Amino acid sequence: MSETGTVARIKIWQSNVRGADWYYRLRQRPGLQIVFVLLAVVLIAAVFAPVISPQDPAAQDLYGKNQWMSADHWFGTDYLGRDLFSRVVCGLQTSMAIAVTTIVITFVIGTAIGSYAGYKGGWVDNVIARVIDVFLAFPSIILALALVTLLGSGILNMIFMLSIVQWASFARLMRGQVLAEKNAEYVLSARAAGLPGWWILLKHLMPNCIMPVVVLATMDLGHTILTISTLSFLGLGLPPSIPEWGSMINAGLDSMRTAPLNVIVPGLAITTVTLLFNLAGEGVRDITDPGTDAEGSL
Amino acid sequence: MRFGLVLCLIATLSLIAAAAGCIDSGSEKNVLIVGNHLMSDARELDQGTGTGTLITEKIIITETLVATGEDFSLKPNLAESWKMINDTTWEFKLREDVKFHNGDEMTAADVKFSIENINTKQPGRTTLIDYRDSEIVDKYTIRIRTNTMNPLLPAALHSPDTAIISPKSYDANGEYVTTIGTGPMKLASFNEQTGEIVVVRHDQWWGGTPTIEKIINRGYPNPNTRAMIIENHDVDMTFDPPYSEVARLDAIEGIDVLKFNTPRTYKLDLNFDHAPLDDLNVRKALAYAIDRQGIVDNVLYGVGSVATGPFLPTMAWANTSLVPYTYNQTLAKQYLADAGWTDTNGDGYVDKDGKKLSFKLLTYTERPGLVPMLEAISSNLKDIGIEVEEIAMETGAISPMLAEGDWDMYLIAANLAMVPDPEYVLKTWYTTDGTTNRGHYSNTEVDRIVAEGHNLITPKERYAHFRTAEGIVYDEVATINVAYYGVAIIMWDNVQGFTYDPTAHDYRLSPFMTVA
Repeated sequence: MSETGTVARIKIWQSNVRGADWYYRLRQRPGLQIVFVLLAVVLIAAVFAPVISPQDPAAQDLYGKNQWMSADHWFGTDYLGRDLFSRVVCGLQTSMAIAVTTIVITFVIGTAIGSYAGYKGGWVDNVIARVIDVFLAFPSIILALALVTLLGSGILNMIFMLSIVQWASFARLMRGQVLAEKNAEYVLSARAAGLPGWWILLKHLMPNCIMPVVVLATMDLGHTILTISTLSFLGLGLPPSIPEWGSMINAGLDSMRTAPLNVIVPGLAITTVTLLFNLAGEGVRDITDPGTDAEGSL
Repeated sequence: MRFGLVLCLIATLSLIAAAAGCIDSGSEKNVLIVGNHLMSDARELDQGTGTGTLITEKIIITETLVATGEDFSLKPNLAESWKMINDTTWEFKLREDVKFHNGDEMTAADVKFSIENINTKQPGRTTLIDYRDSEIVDKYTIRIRTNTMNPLLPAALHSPDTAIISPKSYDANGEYVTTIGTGPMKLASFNEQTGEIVVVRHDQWWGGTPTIEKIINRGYPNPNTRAMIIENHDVDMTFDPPYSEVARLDAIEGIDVLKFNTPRTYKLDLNFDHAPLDDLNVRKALAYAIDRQGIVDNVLYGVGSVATGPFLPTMAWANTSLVPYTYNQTLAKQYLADAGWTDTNGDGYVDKDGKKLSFKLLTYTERPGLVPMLEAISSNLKDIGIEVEEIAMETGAISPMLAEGDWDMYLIAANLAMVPDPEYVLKTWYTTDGTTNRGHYSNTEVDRIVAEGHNLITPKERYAHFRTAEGIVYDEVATINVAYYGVAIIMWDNVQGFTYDPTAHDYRLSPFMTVA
């Protein structure tokens, strides 16, 4: 055991004790850094999609359909001669806009309901916990399908429906966290000091409970993008004029064997983005919660 | 113990191998294996509860009284001749040499039974017959009475739903047993699990001795699956793979692809209640803005053809003097300008009185060509400065929108020959009270011509009369006809003698095919 190794381990121990070690842990993980950089690229691409896409994603050229990759069309053209690169980038914007809005909504609603239930306890907690159970008992994709059929397609309906499907998992996690923390000594002392309940919840409990929920939110982003694509693939999501990966795959199925790019390009896009969010979610968990440090994580 | 298990396994495997040997009948001569899109259940085979197209056209075990020629004109079939006795009575003379599959002779009583069977069990399929009752004059003569005067009756009896079956298809309690028809093939077996239907030759068929010995009909609902099974030669013949696969399959050595028009048309219904679609100039602009040839070549991959009038030009009654609205953006923009729509604010869309021109375009997703066609049309319209909101959902989801009038244009693949006669389409699509006149087009001249035409009896008079109405609705752009529907039939070259019946639903098998 070398001297420097020991020093390093003492540093880790110190930073663990101080509880501000995430930056250090991140620096220890070059793989995770790459994931974050790629994710940043994806997010920037999503925000600036109209600027980045070299062509109008809706511009058709029937006579130039199903082309292979070229300098003009980096990812080739689709079955109506539209530029696949532009479509996949604009599809990213569509998916990200819906997914991020959904996650923000479910995060706020789920956290609020979950922490209220957990802190309040008693019959309020019982009722809310049962409601959460009911929502979680539904297979989410089937619930989503039922809601789409009921509400019709469109971006706003999609967000509404995904929020209904997903808020419960946030609420449950937050409730569990608050239940575990609410009898901790710092909470008891805050209560003894006569602080109001909402203050304790917001200022004391929230900061100590929120991190797992943030991890869930990050991982759920990937999951949400997958759900959006699934619904669009089934033809229940968005109108055909809005470029979206799932509907691109569905529309490209018929030309799968003659012009595989129609399917491969959006398929790879879904895989990549979902994978990035999952890796990032796991990474955030690892660097914020030393207890779950697993072998082979990034 | 272990040895016993192994023995069992070997026994099972050899059983499976033996069974597989039985199933593989591809090597037999004149046995045709067809990959159909229907995944049928037993009810489908019953003339009373099923769809006639399966039993009459796909497995050819039943026949109708009236047939049609290639130009959709009526031809004798099980009925030798027919005439109108009075306003509500038609008399049909039957062939005297027709034998059912069980050897019984076909008589007027069987015809009465068959028509009443479908009329009672599925009245929706016999509305065009307008059936009241029938009278058996003698063994080979029947008089059919209608509720109102019905010159369409012989044409309506061409519908495969009115196929003639023996009453012995049912037991004493009226329960379905099997389908006993008069067709060139007879039902041998139906597998409820797999949906596989086997029919064999009917030696006593009145039309001669069929060359085909056996037809095995299997259901493959997915177009991609049909493309794969024909490529592997699991079946000798199939139809309608994904349109994009047609050229690839055609290039395979030994596979032939035949493309035909079917009596169905892709058309845009226009909502005349929504201004400015009531403006002829705007409608003409739309008609000229659509690149029909581009759509047929690149969206339908040549499965279909460019449409002019509502009827296929090969139909005996079609008005062939119609001038096509050939793709012309300049002309389309000119018509828009004539109607007062120009792009005054430079946003790329035409506007009038501060409002931009915007349409809601609907279609349903069940037929493969419709959604990409919707996208192509919407792009064409955008090119002349019209904004389009595209909506493509399953029929169930769009029918409420249609019912509430929440649409401007509706892309639909509509059947043209429910009956081989022009009156049906002209009346239901274009008269003021027409049942499928969704956009509320109304022209008193058209109403009058169609009403008058109803009283004409001979096909020749009728066809000439209705041509005028077709000309008017075409010139007024009552609907925009985009393309005639096509079917792609794919066969291995060991199949010979297939003839296409343009009046069939997709295709009708011929008894005189051979399979090497």
